[in-house]
Amino acid sequence: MDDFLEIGGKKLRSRLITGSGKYSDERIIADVVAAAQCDVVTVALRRVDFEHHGESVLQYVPKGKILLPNTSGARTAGEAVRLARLAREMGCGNWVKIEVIEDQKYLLPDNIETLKATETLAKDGFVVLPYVSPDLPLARKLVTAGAAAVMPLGAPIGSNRGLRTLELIEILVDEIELPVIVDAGIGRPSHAAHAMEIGAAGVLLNTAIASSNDPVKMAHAFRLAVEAGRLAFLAGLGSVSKTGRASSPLTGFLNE
Amino acid sequence: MAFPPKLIYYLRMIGRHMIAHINGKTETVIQEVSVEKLLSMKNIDPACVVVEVNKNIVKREKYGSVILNDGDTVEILKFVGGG
Repeated sequence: MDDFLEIGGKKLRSRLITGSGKYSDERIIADVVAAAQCDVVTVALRRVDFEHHGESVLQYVPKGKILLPNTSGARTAGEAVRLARLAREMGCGNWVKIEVIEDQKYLLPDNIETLKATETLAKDGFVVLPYVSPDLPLARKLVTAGAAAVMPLGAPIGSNRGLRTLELIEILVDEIELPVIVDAGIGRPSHAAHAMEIGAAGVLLNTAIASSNDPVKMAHAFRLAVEAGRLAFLAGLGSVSKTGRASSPLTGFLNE
Repeated sequence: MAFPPKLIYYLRMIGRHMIAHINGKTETVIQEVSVEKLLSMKNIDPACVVVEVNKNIVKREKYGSVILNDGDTVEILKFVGGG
């Protein structure tokens, strides 16, 4: 079925983007990505620890995947821009997830700084996926700024709380022409399916898989959930009623 | 390498060593060290990192020709897991 997610000139078969963080043994990442069958994997950029210098996480990301470096650690647009340019210099592509967070309690993104960084990086030729709190006026500005998608959070990063911002996400889906990818807070495959059912273009999640007892099995579950939700959206959900509506004819009963 | 301050002073006076701020730590390094040599001394594979000297990104093909100066600030970063 030709139902690709088109971003940055690429046609993605999978609408599930997975993170590579929070794994104590990174060797599992290869199996997780294989089970998720995702096309895009997020990574972060950090200083090399010369005392405990392990392997690069890249060696556990299967070949052929699109790398989506995030700008985690950035507290301002300037820091995000700096991190994005460093990430691009690695030579793995020009996609970037803008993540600008000053708030260390809820890890909620700074929408204003994210918009500024989007403007600069889009002009600099990046494929920009900004991570934001859902906000329609801001999202419209992100479109104008040249973002390739809009990534509203469902709930705080790592919280597994689901789509707490559901109605705001629905507004974005209705009003924004760019792909709306729900990023952060998704904790269960049913959350991911729900996001897809309401018309999100995709979902991005990390903790829900990494914090599971069996991340590979969970990744498989998320793959199925995202596919199911998308199929449901394309099929068209039935109408909702306050009263009951019988499934079989109301005549011809045995006891009439 | 962590030397006592007096020794660092003498080493700098002799002219064989200099200070560089590498990944947030002040270190003593030999003078005229290139980025390539620095990575090699720290056992870092150049293909797995990106390098910034004084907030300027150093292109990989220039690692051999960019020479550090006394007091330079160097950032050496790699990709890690992230969401």
